[in-house]
Formats: sequence, C-alpha cells, structure tokens
Amino acid sequence: MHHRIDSSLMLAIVSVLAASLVNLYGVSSAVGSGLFLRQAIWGVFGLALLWACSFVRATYWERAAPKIFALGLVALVAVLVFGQVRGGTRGWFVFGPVSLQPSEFARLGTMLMVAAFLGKREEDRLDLWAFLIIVAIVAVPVGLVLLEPDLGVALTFGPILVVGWWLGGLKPRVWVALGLLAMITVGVSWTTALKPYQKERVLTVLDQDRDPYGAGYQVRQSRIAVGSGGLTGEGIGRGSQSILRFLPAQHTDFAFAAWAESTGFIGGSALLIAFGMILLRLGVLIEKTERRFGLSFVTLVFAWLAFQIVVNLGMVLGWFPTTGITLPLFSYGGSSVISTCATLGIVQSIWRHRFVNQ
Amino acid sequence: MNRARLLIVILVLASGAVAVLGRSAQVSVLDHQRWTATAFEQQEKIIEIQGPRGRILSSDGYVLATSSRRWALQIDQHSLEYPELFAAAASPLLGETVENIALKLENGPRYLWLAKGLDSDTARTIQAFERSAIWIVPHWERDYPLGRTAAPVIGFVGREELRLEGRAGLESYYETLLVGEADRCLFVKDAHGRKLQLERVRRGRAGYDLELTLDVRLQHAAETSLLAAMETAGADRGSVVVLEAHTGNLLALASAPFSDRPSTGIDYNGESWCLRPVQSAIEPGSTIKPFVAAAGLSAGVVRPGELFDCTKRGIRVGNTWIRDHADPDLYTLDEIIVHSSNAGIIQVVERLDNDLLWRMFDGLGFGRKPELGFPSEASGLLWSVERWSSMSPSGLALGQELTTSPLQLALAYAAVANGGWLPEPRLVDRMRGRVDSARDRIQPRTRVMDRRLANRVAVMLEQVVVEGTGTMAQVPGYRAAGKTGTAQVAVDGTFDDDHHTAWFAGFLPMPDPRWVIVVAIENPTVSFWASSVAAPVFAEVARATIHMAGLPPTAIAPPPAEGDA
Repeated sequence: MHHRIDSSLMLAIVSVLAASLVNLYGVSSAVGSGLFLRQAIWGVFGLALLWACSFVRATYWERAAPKIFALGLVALVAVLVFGQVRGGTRGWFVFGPVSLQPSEFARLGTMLMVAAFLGKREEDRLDLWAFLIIVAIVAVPVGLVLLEPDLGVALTFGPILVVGWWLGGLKPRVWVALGLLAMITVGVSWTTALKPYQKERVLTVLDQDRDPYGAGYQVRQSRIAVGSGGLTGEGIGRGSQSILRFLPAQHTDFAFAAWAESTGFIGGSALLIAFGMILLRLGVLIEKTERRFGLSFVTLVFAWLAFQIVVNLGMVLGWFPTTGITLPLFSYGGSSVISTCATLGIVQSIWRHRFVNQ
Repeated sequence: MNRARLLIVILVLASGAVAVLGRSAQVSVLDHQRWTATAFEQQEKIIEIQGPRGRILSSDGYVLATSSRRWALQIDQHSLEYPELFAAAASPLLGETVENIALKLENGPRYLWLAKGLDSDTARTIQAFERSAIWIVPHWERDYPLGRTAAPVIGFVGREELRLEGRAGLESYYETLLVGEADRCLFVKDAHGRKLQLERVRRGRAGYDLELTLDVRLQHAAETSLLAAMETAGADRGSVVVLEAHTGNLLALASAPFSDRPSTGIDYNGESWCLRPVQSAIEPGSTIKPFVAAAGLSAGVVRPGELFDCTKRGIRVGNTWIRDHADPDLYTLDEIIVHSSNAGIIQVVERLDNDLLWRMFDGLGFGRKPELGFPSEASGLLWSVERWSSMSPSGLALGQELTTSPLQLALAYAAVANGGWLPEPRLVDRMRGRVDSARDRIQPRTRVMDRRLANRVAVMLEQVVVEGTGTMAQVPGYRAAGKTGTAQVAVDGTFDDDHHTAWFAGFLPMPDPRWVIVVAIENPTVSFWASSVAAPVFAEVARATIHMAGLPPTAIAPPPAEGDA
C-alpha cells in the first residue's frame, strides 16, 4: 500500500524556496541578478529530485547507505586534488557554469550511514565498539572537510555525532564525562588552537560593540539591517543596508538579515513559521515511523536542520559568533539546495513507507 | 525509542523558536528607531555646496570682483583600478607631468583632491577615464577683471578646502554678506564609501552684490597720479582720497605701494595690502591749521583785521624755538593760513582754552574711527586734555601732536566745504538683492561748525591756492581751495628732519564745493615740500574728477601764478 507524501512538509519546503528566490531578487542590485536565475534552476531541480527520491523505497536507501557514504568520501578526497579554491577553501568541483560542493552531499551520506548502522543494531545500550564506529563514520568526512578547510560545513556534522550517540543509547554517566571533556577541549582550544580572528568573533558576541569596524562589523551590520526593517519592512529590493552593500554575505550567511530588512518582523516571522513547520512535520514523522532506520535518519535530519537554523539565526541576531553556517533552503547555494532537497526526499520516502509491514 | 525523550527535544526546540521570535521582535520592532538611526548615520551624509560669491561693482558699473564656476577632481584611490594609466592619460589635460601625478596619487590620502579650478570640459573628460573612482565637484573661483585697480580696497580671498573666504579688504569685511548661503545636499553612500546619490535638501542663496561708491575711472586716475608723483619725489608710500563733500561717498581711495594678489591667499606682504588712506594714521602737519583758525574765530579771540607779529622767523614756546618758514611780516589770521605761518598760528592757539581746542578737533572726528566699514580702520591719536603738556597746544596747532588717517582729514575738510556738516564716510552704496539695503542709504551727518564760520574758513583756503603755498594746486577754469602740510614724521618718538609727509587737502569747485581731495605722500626724498610734491597731485586728481563729472568751467582761467612755499 502506497501512502501519499506529507503535503504540509512539502508546502513548507516550497514556501522557503520561494521566499529565498524573492529575497535574491531583492538583493540582486547588490549581488548581481544572475544568482536569482541560477537559484531558481537549482530550486526546480531540487524539487524534482525530492519528488524522485520520495518514490524510492526506504529499504533501498538503507541498503544503499554504505555505497552513498563511500561515494561521498571519494568525492571529498577528489575535491582535495581536483577541486577549485574559493575564499581559501578547496571545496568545489567546477563543470562549466555548474559548480558542486561535495561536502554538502557527504553529509547526506554520513547521515544515511549512521542511520543504517543504528538500524541494524538490536541493543538498547551503546557499547564502546558501537560508540567508536559512530565516531569513525562522522570523523572521516569531517577530517576531509577540515582539510579543505571549511569550518562552517564541518560544524554541521556535529549534531549527527551527538544524535547518533543519543539514538544508540549512550549511558548517562558517559554523557557527563563527554560534557566535561567538551568543556576542557573548549578551554584548551581557546588558548591554543583558535586563531585570533576566531577569538575576536566569539568575544564580539559577549560584547556587541567591542569592535564595530573589525570582527563585530558583520554582526553589527546584520543587526542594523534587521532593526531598520521594523514591523513591516522597507520593501523587497528597497532595503538600504542591502542595496548599499553594508550587509555582508547578504545572499548566503546573512540572507535572513536581508529578508528581515525588506519584509520586517512580519516577513521574518513568516519565514520562521515555515521552518518551524518543517521541523514540526519531521517531529510528527519521528512519532509515527516504526522502522528503526527511518526513525534514526529522520531524527538526524531533524537535529541537523534545527542546528543549522538556530546557529544561523543566532548569528544574524547577534547571539552566536560568525561561523559561515548558512540557512538551509534559504541561503544561496546550489549544492546546499540539492543536497537538502535530496535529504528531505528520503524523509518523504520514509514517510510513505513508514509502516513495517508494507 | 523513548517518547518522553522526544517530548523534551520538542520542548527545547519550541522554547528556542520562541526565543528567536522574541529576539527578532526586540531587534526589529522595539529597537527599530535606534537601528534606523544607526543605518542613516552610516548611509547618509549632509554636505554643503557653496553658491556663487557676490560680485563687487563700482558706481560706474565696472565689475571689480566676480565669481566663475570651476570644477575640482576628487579621486577615490581604493576604486582607481589603473593608477599608472590614469596618470598618463590625465597628464596632458592637467598640464602636469606623469611623474608628478603619480607622486600625488602615491602620497595622497584615500580621497585625494587631484586638481581644482578646471573647466567643465576638462573635468568631465578626466572623469570619464574611470567614472567609478573620480568625482567632479563644482566650486567657485574669484576673478578680478580689473586686476590691480582698487586692489587694496577690494582685497582678496583665500580658500578653505573648496570654499572661498575673504582675507583682506572688503572681501574680508563683507564676508558674511558676499558668501551667501550654501546648498545643503544629502548624499547616500555605500559600504565602500562611494557616493551614490545626491539630493538637495535646502536651496541656498547666492551672495549679495556689493555696489561701491568708487568710480573706477577716477580711482584709476588717482592711482596713476599718485604713483607718478611718488616716482618723481622718490617717496615710498602714498594715499589719495576723493570724497563727495555733502554725502561722504568715497569716489576714489588710492593707496601705494600695492602688489598683485597672492595666488594662494595665504602668504602676502602686509605692507602692500594696507589701504593707507583708511588704515594708516600719520601727523597731518599744517593741514590742521585751518581748524585752529576756526576755533580761534568761533571763540572770538581774534579781532577783525588784527595783525600778528610773524617777523622773527620763529617763536619761542617754553624752552623750545620753533622755526617759521613763512616770509617775515605782520599777518592777519587769513594771511597766517595763506602763508602757513607757524609763529602766527601758535599765537592764535595760545589765546585758546584747551577744552575748546580739544572740542574742535574731537568734533571733527580726530582720534575716532570713522566707521567706514573696513577692516582695521585707523582711529588716529588725539590725547585728552588731562594728558596734554604745556607744549601740546602749539604741537596740535602745527599738526605734530596728533595723527590722522587721510580719510579722517578728508572728512574734516568736507565739514568746511559743505557748510559745517561732518559726513559719515561711505564706500558701499548698496547691497543688491538685500531687502533692508534701503536703510543703508540714510546718510547721517553731524553739524560741527557754524555755516558762516565754515564758509569763512573756505574763503581762507581758496586764498591759499590763489596766492599762498597752494598755487600748484590750481585747476585752470575752476576755483579750488586747500591747504598744504609738510609734516615731520615721528621716528622712535622724536621728530627728525629726514622723514616727512607732504600733504595737500582741499576741495572744489568754490563757492559750493562738491569734492574733497586729500593727498599724502610719505617720505619723499627728492623734495619734501608739500607745495611742490602734493599740491600738483591734487590738481591732477581734481581735473580728473571734474572731467568725470562733466562740470563746465566756473572761473576764468587765471594766468599761471608762481608758487612759493
């Protein structure tokens, strides 16, 4: 028996993609009008892929997970050799007008792999071996991504690791130990590993007017943009912070700030509701699905999306330091749209085949 | 899967969503004003663009100072993509070497004023080289079409960035009226500091035009005569004042030496930018004697036809012997003035009460600024009676114990010429375009002398020109009156015989004089006698004045008389 795809989830996804296009159209005077067309093509292609992925049986995805994961790793190695450098990161394959960022696809492979591993297990408690296997599944692609180096994308693998442990049933006292370890790591890396500019970014969050023309510049400009939007916004294509290019990365990292400037609190809230709807439908799916693989995969997706949304919005609103984490489906970027759509396509497939005996 | 754990996750997320919404409401709605203000602050700027500076015109319609529009080039060095190419291309247009331009670009700030004073075509051509990096900004250049004529009166301007600013003369005194009000423009700039949009938010106003009382033709004649006479006499400084006796309007104010205007408006020689007739005060010498005679007449201390003994070629005052250059004789009061007898005038002044003498001088405006409306007007020196010594009255009678600017002396002579009214001097006739400028046309004057007394003194002065020391001031066909003065100049507190000022102060045409002319030639070296140095200049300037006014002759030209000192 076939079930229909989740139309509420679909509606939310299409809404965010549409808002993303409207936003790109509005900032085209500052970032160029070519991006709008490209993103539109990527969006249509992504939706088609989503639709196609949803028809594939969920069990196939479970079986194919190792292959997809391996393919992602090969792509990550290849990009280190053949890839093109952008903004100091060797992370793109370029084929004529099309460029692809394999790290975005490798994340999908990693989530599938972790979900497949957890799906095979019968135990409720995570032993050391299983713990280390999950660490290994995540650590290999993260290591390759860090070699590019792309800290922003690498950070998005974090929730996969944590949720992987959690789904596997890690003992509470190990959580406590890991928490302590994390705190020590943060302390040590603050004094040794972090570069001065990264420290400045963190300190800027604590004291927002610390360095308004240096490390605090982007966050400050972002808040000025959101703040000058007011309740109803300055209008699409009329946001002065965007047009005058005060707002940095206004089509990628700070896309939400441009959106809030032109559509105001009302527009910003509408977008947040759409994202909330996506997360809510994923939650409902987690509730409803019976198969272990499906439950694990959707939970991972949920955690990853929630993490990226929260961190990006936190950055735009001045809570978190600038990390280069984009807003999924909303920020400009073909690979991100395609991989996110494919991921949500698999989620839809799991929705359709959510019952064990079908 | 534990459903309770899921619920926790959903609760955490829900509270996260509420927090994000709250934060977004705080930034967008509650702090909206603050962030909008911050945005305006970094995106917009008000700048002022000066309008044209008011012109300065002469009474006969010549333009003495005017403004013309020029263009300045500003370069944003961050946006300039090919500096070498730009330097090479702009070099012939700017008339500067490529190396010079390259050097400016290298050493200059980010926003560099590369050139000013360009014409529109050149500026636009250069801007077209790199439109995104070069702005052209309009500004104004000051032009003086008549060059040096009346230069010390007009003064000059300097420049503050692109703004013109009066630094000397009328340009400085009337700065606030000449400058007008700037246009206020709002410009929008982007994050890279590029100016994107310019919008005028308040329209400015051009400066008012000053219309002077000066007559440029007469001014030029006065300057020419003065320079020629100084050359002949070997003098180094000089003044000529031509004043309308009834109105106080100044028709010419010649001052020497003077030089070209400083191109930068910064470095200039103070000596050559002193308007001597207004800004310098010197001893008036014998030109002061008619006022002592007037004081004597008004006090009634001289009997009609009384003769004064001037036979001793001098007179003793206290312990000092004062020489007298007049021929020894018995003189009436009129003859004392005609022959400029020192001994005679001292005998008159000795009969006068000090207060009365002081009141006469004070009433005629000595020791007070004439309030012409010019920077640093000289007030001259007239000590109050309490500070006088026993020598002071005779010193005053000889014009050695007070100083006066040529303008002050001309005003005092005007009082004699016009029947006893001391006029207020005027140099600016009106301000064009100014509503309340009519008020400036009211010309107050003060009666300082009885009409009959003034006419009596005027008759004495006419005799000076007819038969006394002033015969070289005669203007054929017209009746002139006046007085010579050869003043010793105080150098380091004492008078010596090497430094003199040759004066002639007079008016014409008698019997109803219209113009007062005062000539002062300082430090003549060839001959220092006023009768031969200053009086001829008076005659020349008087002829030019008559010519300008087109006045028909009023007297039969007398045969040329021989002058004596």
